[in-house]
Amino acid sequence: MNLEQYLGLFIDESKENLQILNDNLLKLEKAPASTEILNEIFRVAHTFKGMSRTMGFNNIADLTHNMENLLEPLRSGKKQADGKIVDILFSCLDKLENLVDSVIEKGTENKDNLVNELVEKLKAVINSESSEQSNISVGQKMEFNEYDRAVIDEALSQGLIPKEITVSIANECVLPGVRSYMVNSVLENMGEIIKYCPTVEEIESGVFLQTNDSQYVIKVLLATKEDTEEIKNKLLDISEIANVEVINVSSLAQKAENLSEDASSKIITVEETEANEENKKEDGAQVQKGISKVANQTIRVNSGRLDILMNLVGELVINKTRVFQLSRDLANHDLINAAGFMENITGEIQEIVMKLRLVPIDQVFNRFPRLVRDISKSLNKDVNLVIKGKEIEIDRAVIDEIGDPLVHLIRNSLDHGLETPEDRIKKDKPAKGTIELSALSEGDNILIRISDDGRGIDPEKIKKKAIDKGFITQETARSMSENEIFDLIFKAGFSTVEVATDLSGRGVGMDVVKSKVSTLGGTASISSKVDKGTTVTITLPSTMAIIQALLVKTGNETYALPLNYINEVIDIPAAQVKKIQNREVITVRDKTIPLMRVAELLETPDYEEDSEKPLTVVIVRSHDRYCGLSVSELIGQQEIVIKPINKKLCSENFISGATTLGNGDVAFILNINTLI
Amino acid sequence: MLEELIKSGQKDIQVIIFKLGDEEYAVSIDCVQEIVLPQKATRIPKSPKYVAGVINLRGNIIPVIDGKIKFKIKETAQNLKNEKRIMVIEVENETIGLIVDGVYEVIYLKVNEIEPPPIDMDENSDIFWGIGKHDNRLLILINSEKFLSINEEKTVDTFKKVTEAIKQVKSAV
Repeated sequence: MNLEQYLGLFIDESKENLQILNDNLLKLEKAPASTEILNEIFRVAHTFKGMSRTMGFNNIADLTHNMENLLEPLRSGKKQADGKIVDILFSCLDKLENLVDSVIEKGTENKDNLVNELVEKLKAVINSESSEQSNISVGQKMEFNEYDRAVIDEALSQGLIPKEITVSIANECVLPGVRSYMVNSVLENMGEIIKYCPTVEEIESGVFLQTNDSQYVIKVLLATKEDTEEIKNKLLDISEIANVEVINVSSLAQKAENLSEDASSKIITVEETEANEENKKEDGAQVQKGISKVANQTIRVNSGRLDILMNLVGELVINKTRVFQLSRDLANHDLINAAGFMENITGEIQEIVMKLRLVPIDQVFNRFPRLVRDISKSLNKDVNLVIKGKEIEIDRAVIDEIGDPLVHLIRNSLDHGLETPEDRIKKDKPAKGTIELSALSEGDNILIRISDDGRGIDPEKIKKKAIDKGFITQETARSMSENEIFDLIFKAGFSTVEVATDLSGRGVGMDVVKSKVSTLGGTASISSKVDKGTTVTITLPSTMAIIQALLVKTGNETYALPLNYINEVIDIPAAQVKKIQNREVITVRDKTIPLMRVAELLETPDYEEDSEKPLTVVIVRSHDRYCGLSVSELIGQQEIVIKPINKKLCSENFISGATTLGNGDVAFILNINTLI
Repeated sequence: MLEELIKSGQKDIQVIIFKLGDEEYAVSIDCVQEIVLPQKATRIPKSPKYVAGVINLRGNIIPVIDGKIKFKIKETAQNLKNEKRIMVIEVENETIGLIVDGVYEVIYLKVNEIEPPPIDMDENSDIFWGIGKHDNRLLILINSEKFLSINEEKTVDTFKKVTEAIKQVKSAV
């Protein structure tokens, strides 16, 4: 059987399941007795087992199988999940991640002796008396809960006869799941299926009932008018069906009723392990409906196709602008109306397509609880991680890139920021430190903040270090603002911690964080108060592909300035430009800001400045740093589609991208971050 | 390069012939995406001199390089302005445009018509395949794979030397 085509599906689902496992293990650590969480973990392990067996990944299957065995006594309440068990489960998770990674990379599992070791460990922990096989071994009779019995009574009153049908599929059958579906569809035609055991979900993950001589057994309760022989014959027509037994159930139902009168418990089940699930699901058919409902809400789409769609919409937006321009030039009223209508629709399409690329930032955030748990354990620090705004959506391209910088920042907070519990008590702080990771949207930008309530950063220390390292001179240090001082931390080779640990402090990192964020078109800044804590703020554009921009002209050239960097546009008389230390500055509302002439900066050819004319200055802001850019003229605000450019030929980082304008011309987008 | 071609057992290669200055050059047709008429390029600020700028090719923005400036080839009066073309080529996963003085024809060049370059090119030998002799014409075969790496002065010098050598051979004939 060719399983290659299912590999992608396996990987996707594995990733999802690993995440669920991770979340629930973290929850389990806090609430070790919760059966709900244990059931969820069990379910994931179970699904994993089924999927990996099907794909032939036996290491994963073995591991998850033994995880199930470990979970079994926990679920039934025979044992408590203590720290040791949670740790083992975490190491299982890590191993699973490892194995899945190797599947992603090579398409096969790593041959790994550690798996066996882990399995042995698991086995050791599993109490001998509760180490029963987790495969559902059934007693000979199917039993029913109240709901089932109500349905049986209903069927009897309609003149249908409930029959319990036991179907054994041949042991050598390769696809018992398929046979099971065939059984299901045959029986569906003959009457009403009240109960189908195992459930559809279980069959999908390869779990069947078992008897002494058969591996794949299905039990069905069918309300039908057909007679027993007819049912038997039809079922035996399906290939690979070894045996069919049909028993009339009326007597069974009776018996169950008796039992329920005797027993005080409301639900009688064959298997204790099934009790909870049974309770929730009622019956197999409904589960199936439920699944198809969920499946209709989301579909997986190849991201390559999304990119193509994105590009096409980009073209559409450009042409829309062009049509709109033409219609206005022609001054034809009907045409303007039609073009306006088209503009609205294009706008909506664009918005939706942009949204398709957005994913909740939770996809990055969800890995941090585990990270914080592990690091805080190894550092003996007690930490409370607060995550806010995980529903904020951000471009897929950003999600892939932002993870590593955030990991770095969180490590920093844990390692350098937070004090040890003893130190914290001495400072009158709660022993448990807090790290807050939050996302919020602000206009077209997304802000991600990592703040801790640790020891903070002393600006004087930074200054001293920077002078020692020769980044700045004594003199400049004196005139620097606090923000400028904290910015020094982002310089390459800067680290204030003397001892490098394996976590952080090697002086690489903050500059990498900065450059990564800046390639994403964002900015990073630090603020801190001694003994109060440190906050790192990352500002990112929420979309990467289409932005609002101000088009400006210098000489004959057109450039685009991203609108989210622009503070204001002013005209200023040429005489008001002053020189400080050979740099031109202007004063805007009592604030002195540097002035840059774009034409000089970009060496625009054939450009002559009229010294009499007032200057048109666009004031841009990046990280609380302001700068005035003098341009020849403003063209207007417009939506532009960012197109990639050849990085080798566009030197000096002046340019972050390019775009095509309505008339087909190309305009470069200025990279404000590196410009000022 | 040439040895590899001979080893591969291929009998001929399809090349496109274009002109820069006085000489005819050829490049494997596999890397040529299309040939377009010259259009106004937008200057890239602070880019090297040989970069003419970028053009909008059906929505894709591609940089355009002036072949004559890049390889320091002298302008000749004979070349007609209206024969200028931009050859859009794909090299090392990047699409770039190359301004040439004319694109003439596509031919099948027999492998045994290719000779090694006339001068010793030591470490830069991989920028050329060799010299193609075809119908009494001498074609300088450029290795498109190494096209963009012809950046350093030295490689440009080699390029010039080969071109000069070909000129001498021609005048001797």
